[in-house]
Amino acid sequence: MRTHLTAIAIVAALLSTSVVVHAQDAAKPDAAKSDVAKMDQAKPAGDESDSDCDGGTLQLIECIGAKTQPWDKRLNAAYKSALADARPEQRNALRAAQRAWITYRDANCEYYNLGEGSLSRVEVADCDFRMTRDRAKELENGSGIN
Amino acid sequence: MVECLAAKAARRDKRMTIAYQRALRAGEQKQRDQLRVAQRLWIQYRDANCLYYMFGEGTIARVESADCTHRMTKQRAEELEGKEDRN
Repeated sequence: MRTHLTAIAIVAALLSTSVVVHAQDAAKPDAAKSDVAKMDQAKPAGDESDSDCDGGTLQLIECIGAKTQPWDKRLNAAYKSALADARPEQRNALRAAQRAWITYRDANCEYYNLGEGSLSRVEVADCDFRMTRDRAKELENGSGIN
Repeated sequence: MVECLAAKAARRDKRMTIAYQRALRAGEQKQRDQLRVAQRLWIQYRDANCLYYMFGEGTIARVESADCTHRMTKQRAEELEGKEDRN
């Protein structure tokens, strides 16, 4: 069990490190970059929150949170790109839709928070992951519509 | 095509309504209130999101907007059906 938890902690640490390294990538292209690229190829932003995540409640929440981060970055990038590509009359509609999405996401995930037991906190993290991933995917596809 | 998508969306809509009512019944009072709030906000989000597609270029925009409603209703039905199991 202990070994298992340690493995999870390492995965979580790797995931968060990969995000940090990513941010520095553009400014500092060096040998480390190809390693990161290889790592990214091996482990693209996961589609499922629970793959590779295991352990106790806290470990699970941390692990799912780390998996949400790359999707959050993709969502922000896709939103900006969709805004830039939008026709002028579409722009306000997209801004309104994104505001509505945020309000809905918060209310929807709060619903899971009110569930019974410690599992509810894992479900909140999972809700946040799922919604961020799905919205990122939609905006990534939708930005090619125009 | 738009009519066909609308008919499909109506079936999904019915499926979602059933799942929503079941999830409502399954939850505790606090959860019930929160689910009602979330569902109202989902409707606002769905309308705002599909309106965005409606403003797209050409006649395809109407198809995309109808497809948006269909897709979102299906996704929400699936999520609510999952909630039934969790409660």
